[in-house]
Amino acid sequence: MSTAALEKSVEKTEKVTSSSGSAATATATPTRRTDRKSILVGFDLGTNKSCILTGLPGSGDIAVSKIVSSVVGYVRDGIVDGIIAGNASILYGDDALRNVLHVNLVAPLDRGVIKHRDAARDFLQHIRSLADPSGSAEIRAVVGIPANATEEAREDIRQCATGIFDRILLIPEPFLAALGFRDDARLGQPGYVDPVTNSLFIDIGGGTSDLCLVQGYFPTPDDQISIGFAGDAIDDLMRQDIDRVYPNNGLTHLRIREIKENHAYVGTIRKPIDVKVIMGGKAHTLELGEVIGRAGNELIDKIYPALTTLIGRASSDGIVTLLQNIIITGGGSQIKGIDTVLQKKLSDDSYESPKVRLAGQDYKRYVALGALKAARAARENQWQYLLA
Amino acid sequence: MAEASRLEIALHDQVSAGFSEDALQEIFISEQKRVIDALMLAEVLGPLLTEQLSAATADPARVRTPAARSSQRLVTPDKPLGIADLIEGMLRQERDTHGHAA
Repeated sequence: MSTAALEKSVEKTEKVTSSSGSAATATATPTRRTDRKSILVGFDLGTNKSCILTGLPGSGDIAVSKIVSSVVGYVRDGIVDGIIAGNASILYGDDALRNVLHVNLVAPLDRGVIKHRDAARDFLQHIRSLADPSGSAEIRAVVGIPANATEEAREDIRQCATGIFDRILLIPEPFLAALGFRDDARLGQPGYVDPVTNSLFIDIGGGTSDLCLVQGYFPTPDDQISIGFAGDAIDDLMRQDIDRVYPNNGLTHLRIREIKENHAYVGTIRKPIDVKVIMGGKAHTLELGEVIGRAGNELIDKIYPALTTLIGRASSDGIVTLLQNIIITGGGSQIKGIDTVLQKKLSDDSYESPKVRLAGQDYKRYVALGALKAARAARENQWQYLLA
Repeated sequence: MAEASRLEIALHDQVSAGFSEDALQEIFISEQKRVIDALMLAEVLGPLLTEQLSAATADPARVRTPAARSSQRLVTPDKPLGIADLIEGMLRQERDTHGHAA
């Protein structure tokens, strides 16, 4: 992985982007404690899963690499001492999920944007503690945001991060995925197509599916499409269908998500897909082939028009190469058949030799990896300060 | 036609209220001229509006011509793209957006 040294000169330009109630940011250095070490953070703030990678400036090593479920659990009143480890009052991620009976679970995000500010701040504080257990370092975080996130959504992140991160950069997630996917060791090699030069990324998360053209310049709003239909929407569709076919099934939201993660597919309906569930303490087998397939195909129906729209907007130079570099990442890349179905649809619609591929096993980390690369490369005057 | 009918009814009401028939006839003629002018304008504008609406509801991908994207041609540099330069491009877009909003 290539690293870039940060520039040492600092411009004295002040730019305050505050309005009433908003976080004040500036792109200058007011005062700086030079004895404080800096930690660079690449942070994929996902609706269901977040990923944090950290490293030190000037180093190519990754110090911390964690996937954290994006959930906060507030311990309920009256829980007996010793039930919760360390008698903690707040749990995070998988700890919160494991203690679901004893906590009020709050998901800070919905469809990629902050919905519960207090929970978001608590979650970010937890992320900070993972990056810097000592609590004394300066934290510079590049945070992934949905494609075409509104200014309001961006400001929400800044406000929640104020007092937790010291400097911040917000960058769209599919672009960060392209950066993360880029194999720095192969840059310049014959036959290697730099994904940042000519590719189309489809990042299917929990809250949003984001598509992004990356063609050698930072993507404009026209190069990005964000669809509010992704993993959570598939869960909702499955829930509706399962409730219709198997009333009183008692399946929780988390169990349905688990069924989806194990069995999701697109394309021709596959039957039978038998899933064992416990209902009222008794084991039952539910045949869910059609339920799962219908929900998955709905995702294809939403993504495909956006995909062809972006292809239509791409520069005509290198369009054939672009069609060979359509990459699916995010949790949705694990849906069986999603690459072949999209590729076939493009072929059937007479697109020239399309090739859709999956990002691979590291799909959970590409956005955070790209964010960490961006953190390493960002110039001093590109960071925004979060002034508490 | 409907407007003319309504006008006729209104005029009859005015007559019964005591207005002179000559004055009412003058009003009727001027309103008739106004309606004719409006019909002529609709005949001219109608096709133009139809054409505009058809273009606006067309596939947005087809609306984008290669010329519209000439300022962002595909870049095929000899060296790998610098991330800092790409970030600079992002910040420039944000500044332009805020400038437009202001």
